[in-house]
Amino acid sequence: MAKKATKKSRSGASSMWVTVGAAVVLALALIIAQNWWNDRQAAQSIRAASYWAQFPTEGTRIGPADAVVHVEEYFDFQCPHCQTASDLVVKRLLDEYVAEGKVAFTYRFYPILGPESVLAAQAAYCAMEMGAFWPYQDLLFAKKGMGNRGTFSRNNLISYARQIGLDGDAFAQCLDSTRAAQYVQRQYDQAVRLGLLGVPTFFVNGRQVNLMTWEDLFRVIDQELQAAGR
Amino acid sequence: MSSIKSFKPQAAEHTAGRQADQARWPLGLAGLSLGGAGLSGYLWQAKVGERELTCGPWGDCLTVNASVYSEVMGIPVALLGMLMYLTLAVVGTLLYWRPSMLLANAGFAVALAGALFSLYLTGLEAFVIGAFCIWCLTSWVLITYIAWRWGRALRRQAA
Repeated sequence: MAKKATKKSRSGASSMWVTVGAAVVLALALIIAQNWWNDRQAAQSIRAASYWAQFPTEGTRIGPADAVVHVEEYFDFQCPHCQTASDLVVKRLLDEYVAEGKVAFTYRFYPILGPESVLAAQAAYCAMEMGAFWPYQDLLFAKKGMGNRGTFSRNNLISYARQIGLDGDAFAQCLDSTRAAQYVQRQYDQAVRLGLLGVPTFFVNGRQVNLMTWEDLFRVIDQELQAAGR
Repeated sequence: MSSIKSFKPQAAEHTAGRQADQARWPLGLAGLSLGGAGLSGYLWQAKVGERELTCGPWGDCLTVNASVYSEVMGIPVALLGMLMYLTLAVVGTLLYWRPSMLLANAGFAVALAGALFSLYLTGLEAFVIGAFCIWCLTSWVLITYIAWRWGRALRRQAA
């Protein structure tokens, strides 16, 4: 009887260790999968950085300063249409127009959708100060943050900055500074003075463009280029 | 003599009571797991924007629930947590009605893996994200207790 009990106890203990081992492997697999995925996402944004490096940039403007057509967009990082415009309009604009040196494009901050919109704009300003506005805005738009739900909280914005290789401490200092807040406030005030009712709002050579479809913007740009003989 | 006579039935009652307690543990853990599923479900709903996340006066659960560590390969951690708790609730209920060593081991493996992963996430909150989420910490304590209680019951059965 005693032998039987000892045998039962030993087999129970060994099956317990197998279970503990399986649990450790499962937890490690989750940790490895999470880190692999995050590294992969970060690597994609690094590729984006090399993509942006081919264009001349100055602050939030991309493209040559003497381009015959200048497109501006007043935007908010939390606005779904601005996120769509980033994918469907801005990338096409860069590949087909800015890359040829005919068009310059400038983002203007108009954070109207809550505190995280303001913070995201200030963070983008800090990225601009550190020479990384374009890869940073690309990453923020990719997050598709909406409704002030933490995507653009202070800590996450600093974490995104680190993700594209910026110094997190310097970035945090900038984010807390009054200069970031003042820069964004000035652009906001400018949009209010222009009487803008929403985002995104596009201007081509200083004239506001009312869009029914995204294609309308390219039509206006083409007309401006034709008028300039390009 | 009278004390010896009265001792035996009391001891038998005590042992029977303890055995009944031991037999009921899967049901208790299934109940706790349902609570955990509700908590994780709430965090998941907030993550996908279906609900507003209330953090309370302490911590910053918005930052944590939106950080890059709130997903595993695009799947929200809160959803994984909810599935884990629901699995544990089902396994606990099954164990109560039909005890099985294999099922008990499988349930313990899931609970322990959940507790370890949750410990890792809590470490990230403290040292990487720089913010704490009260709901995530509650879930960490809950799954750690479930794993500990499950492991203790298994060890007793094995002994």
